[in-house]
Amino acid sequence: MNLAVYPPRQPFPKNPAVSIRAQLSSDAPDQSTLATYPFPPYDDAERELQSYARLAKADDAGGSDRIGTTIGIKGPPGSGKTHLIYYLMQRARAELPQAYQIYVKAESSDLLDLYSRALQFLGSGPLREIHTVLLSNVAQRELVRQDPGNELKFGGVSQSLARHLIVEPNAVYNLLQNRVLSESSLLSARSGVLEGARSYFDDFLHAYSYLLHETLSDHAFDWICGRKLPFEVLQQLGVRRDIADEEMAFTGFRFLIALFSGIKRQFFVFIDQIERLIYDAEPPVREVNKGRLHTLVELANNAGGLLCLAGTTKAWDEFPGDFLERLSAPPFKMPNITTEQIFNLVTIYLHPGQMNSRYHAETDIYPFNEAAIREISKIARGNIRSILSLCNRSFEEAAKQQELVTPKLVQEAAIQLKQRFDRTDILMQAKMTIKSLGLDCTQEFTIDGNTRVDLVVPDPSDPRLLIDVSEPNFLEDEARAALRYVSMAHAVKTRWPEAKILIVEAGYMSAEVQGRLRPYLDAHIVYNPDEFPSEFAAAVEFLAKGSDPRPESRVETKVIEQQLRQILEARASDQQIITYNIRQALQDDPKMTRNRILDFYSKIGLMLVSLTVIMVVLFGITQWFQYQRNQEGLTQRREALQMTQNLWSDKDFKATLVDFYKTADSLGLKPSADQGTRLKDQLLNDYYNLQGLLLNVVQCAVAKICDPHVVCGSLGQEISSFVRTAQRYELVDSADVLTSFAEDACGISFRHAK
Amino acid sequence: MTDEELLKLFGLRRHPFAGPWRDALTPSAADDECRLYAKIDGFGRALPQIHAWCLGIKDIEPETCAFVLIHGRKGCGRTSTANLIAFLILQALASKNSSSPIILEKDAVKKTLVKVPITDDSPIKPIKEAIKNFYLRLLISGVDVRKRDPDLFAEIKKDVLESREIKELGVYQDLFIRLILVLKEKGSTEYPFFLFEDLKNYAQADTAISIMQEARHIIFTTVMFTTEDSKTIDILTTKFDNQELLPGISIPLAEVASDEIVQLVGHRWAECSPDPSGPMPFEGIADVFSGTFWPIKTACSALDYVFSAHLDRLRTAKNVSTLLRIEQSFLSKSVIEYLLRGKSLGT
Repeated sequence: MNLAVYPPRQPFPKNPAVSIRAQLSSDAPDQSTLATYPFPPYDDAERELQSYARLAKADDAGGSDRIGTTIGIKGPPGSGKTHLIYYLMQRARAELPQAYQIYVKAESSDLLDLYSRALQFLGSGPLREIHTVLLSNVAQRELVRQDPGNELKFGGVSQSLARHLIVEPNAVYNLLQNRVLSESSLLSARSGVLEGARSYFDDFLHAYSYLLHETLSDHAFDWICGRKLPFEVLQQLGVRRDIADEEMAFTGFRFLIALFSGIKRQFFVFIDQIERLIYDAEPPVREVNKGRLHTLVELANNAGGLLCLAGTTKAWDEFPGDFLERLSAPPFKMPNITTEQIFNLVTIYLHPGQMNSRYHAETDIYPFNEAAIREISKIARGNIRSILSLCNRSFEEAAKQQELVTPKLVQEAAIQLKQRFDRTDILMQAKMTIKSLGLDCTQEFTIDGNTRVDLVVPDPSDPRLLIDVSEPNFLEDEARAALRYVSMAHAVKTRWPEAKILIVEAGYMSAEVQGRLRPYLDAHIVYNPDEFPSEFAAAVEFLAKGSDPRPESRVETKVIEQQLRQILEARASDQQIITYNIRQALQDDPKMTRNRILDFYSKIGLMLVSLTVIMVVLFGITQWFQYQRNQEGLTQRREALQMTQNLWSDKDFKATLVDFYKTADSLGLKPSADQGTRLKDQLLNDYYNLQGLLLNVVQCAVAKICDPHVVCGSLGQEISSFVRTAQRYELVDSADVLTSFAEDACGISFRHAK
Repeated sequence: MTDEELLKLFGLRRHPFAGPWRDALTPSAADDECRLYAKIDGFGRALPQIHAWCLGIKDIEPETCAFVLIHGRKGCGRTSTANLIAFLILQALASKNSSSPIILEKDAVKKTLVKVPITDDSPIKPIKEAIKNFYLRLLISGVDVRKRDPDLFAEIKKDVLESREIKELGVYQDLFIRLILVLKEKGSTEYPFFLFEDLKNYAQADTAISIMQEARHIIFTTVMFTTEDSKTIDILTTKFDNQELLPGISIPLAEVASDEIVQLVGHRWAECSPDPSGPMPFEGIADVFSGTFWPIKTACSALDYVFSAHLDRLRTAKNVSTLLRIEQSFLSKSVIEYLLRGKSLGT
């Protein structure tokens, strides 16, 4: 840790808020990596959680009644509330691995949005599992009811089957398939198990029934998550309408809690940023939301779950006494951190990946000096988020010339942070630019009730261009944001194939994530205050007024998503080490740390001289390489753009594809009706989506072709022509995929036919 | 040992649970499959009524629409009952203008019956499926809609065969009537039978009834429904009772108790062997299936599994004579094993 090398990249998150992602449950670190947090809120909250876990375990063992708990967390923005939730979720996973967990952050006063994201966090797999266990429980009752024990003779199988279901709930589907149980009576008996089930649960009962349906399971999950579905799909699911209002969303919450209760499984629901449910709403809605939170607390308590609510101190003050009385203890207040702790915090971020990193000497916080840290402490007043923002900004400035971060730079950073651009500013600039181009736009648009987009040009009824300003991102956030854009691109291309997507990146995005995201976006602008207006105007003009739309990359999407998830996991791993180190650091005795600082000063003189010389040399070399890289990148980008435009406007290319389809058709290679329609659409409209298209064509052809001689004829020529065309445009992957596929399937070498 | 040799050990001419028993029964006058129908519970009680009702069909107005509701759990023989009704109606209609007994074609029911499996709650999708299957049925029986009415074919292709969407009911109503007209113009004496299998809700029955009734002025049509949905059963039965749907019949099918399963095994064994005892322990069967009621198909499939597993044991046994009787423990274990299997035997 004592090698003072200038950090090669920004070590501090631009947006230091902790993010909690849906996959947390599956890859949370095990118990051994989690140290006990010394601050009272961590101890207190964990104590509540453990008390709940003890009771839950006793309940499982049949020793006590089911009882729930509600925990409150309060503190100003940036004080680490989400961090504490993250910690509690890990502890909960360790204590009760079978329990279900939901985390949701309120982003507005809209309860429907909250519900939708909560269900998405839970995921379709756990929902199916919950429903299966419920059916299994009902089936056990049915089997035992049908088979009273005192009438059993030797060998009666009903009770054996009921016992088997306790250990293997999935067997309920075998019993249904083998007609031991009646599906309709089992489904109708469900409501008897769900406490409080009334007729308004009907739609939910129907939709949940389809969670394991061969073709409708995804639709069922979409409906449950509050996504809008076509009328005919609603009919297939047997539901009367979408979950389109807050009342129905709240019924969805009720139903979910009734399910948890029905299967007698513990659950944790963490609702973060509850102030948004209150302050983002008009007074009448505010009261309604407060009432609903109150009801939620009661429902979760009665169902034996743990509900954790986190929000600002001001928001908690809004709640009446009888609400606070429902909590297991008064809301836990998040504290500020001390200067000594800031030293450790900065050391940890400067040495990611190193376990147990602590501040011992000033080299540990290089390129910051001690005075700078004290300045940060003075300005941030113990608020972790402010501390990290100041570190980020001051490092950003210092890194330009690889300078030391001094108190002066910290002060300048503080001023810049107050004036810094944020989403609102960028959106305002974007709107003004769009208007100056003579175009209309609509702000804040939601696709299918789920995916939000910042701006739509000209309006949502006929969108030509969708623009989103990305939140400042760092570490795992950038991969998560990229995943969101892949999903958004899919939603956009499904509804409006002609529409284009432009992302304005106001934060950090690494080259590896950018590269994977590029196929899904029509344009991607990294925000720079000086160049943004002109760059943005050019992009909007090009995309909204001309240019063909980029097709959705069908074949690659799953691969790209997988890669992004891997990046996300790698980032999360770094983040977990940092989190662990911070927690350890905050345990250290500040006095010890101070002694280490003083000890270091005796050695620092000689080291500083050596470092300065090395830095000057390194700086020169780095700058030269940076310049070369920039030039190279610009050239490559221009060439790629040119190549893409050429391909899109090449009529021959399109004609070749259309000819290929016709040839296949004339040879009687027309696949099934569905495949044929899809294939034709792809050929005629998405002709540049080569890889997916060619794979489909060849798959269909291979499925139909029995005689290789037929392929040798005109279809063979067409395939060869394709390969050549693909190679001409350097679409190597597509050409290779097609060639290999065709060769394997038909035993003909197209490579020789070039 | 071969299967035949193994079966001979029990004096069996054939496997007592294989063959037509594994699927829904489809009777024809050319064979004796009618005898295989087990006259049990609801079906047994309703059989005289079914015969009388089907016979009465020949006396009704030639252009009408008959409705049949067969209700009970899956596996209780609903499809077999529907096949029997179709067979009896066909026989009644064929003998209407003939003084001598009529022998129907071997595949008469299979050729005439349009099955519409229902897989979800949509009230309109079954109609689309009915048109698709009806069109295919016509094609198989030599009615080339493409040649007779190219426009109709083009529309069916666009809206039914190639479309994944579910259109408005009116679209399908029009196509259905035009298909019926094609059948009528052919001068065929065929009568279409539609079997909507496993209705999920009453709306599906209602939609089917409204569409099918449109055809009643053109040709005699029979519409059959199977369901286990209690609301649908209540509404349709009430409509039959109130004579809102004429002619109509509601047939309840119940599960069987363990003693009936024992009788069933005896019935099957008697069909295949002169020796009525067999290797199945009758008391053991009564025990295993005691305490609850079972769909007949579930019981038969489970016993099929047990007997087949027993034959497998014999195939590798050194001393066959010690295993001629099926032990109670083997029976019980095999039944549970079968009921927890992922896939039903013979399906």
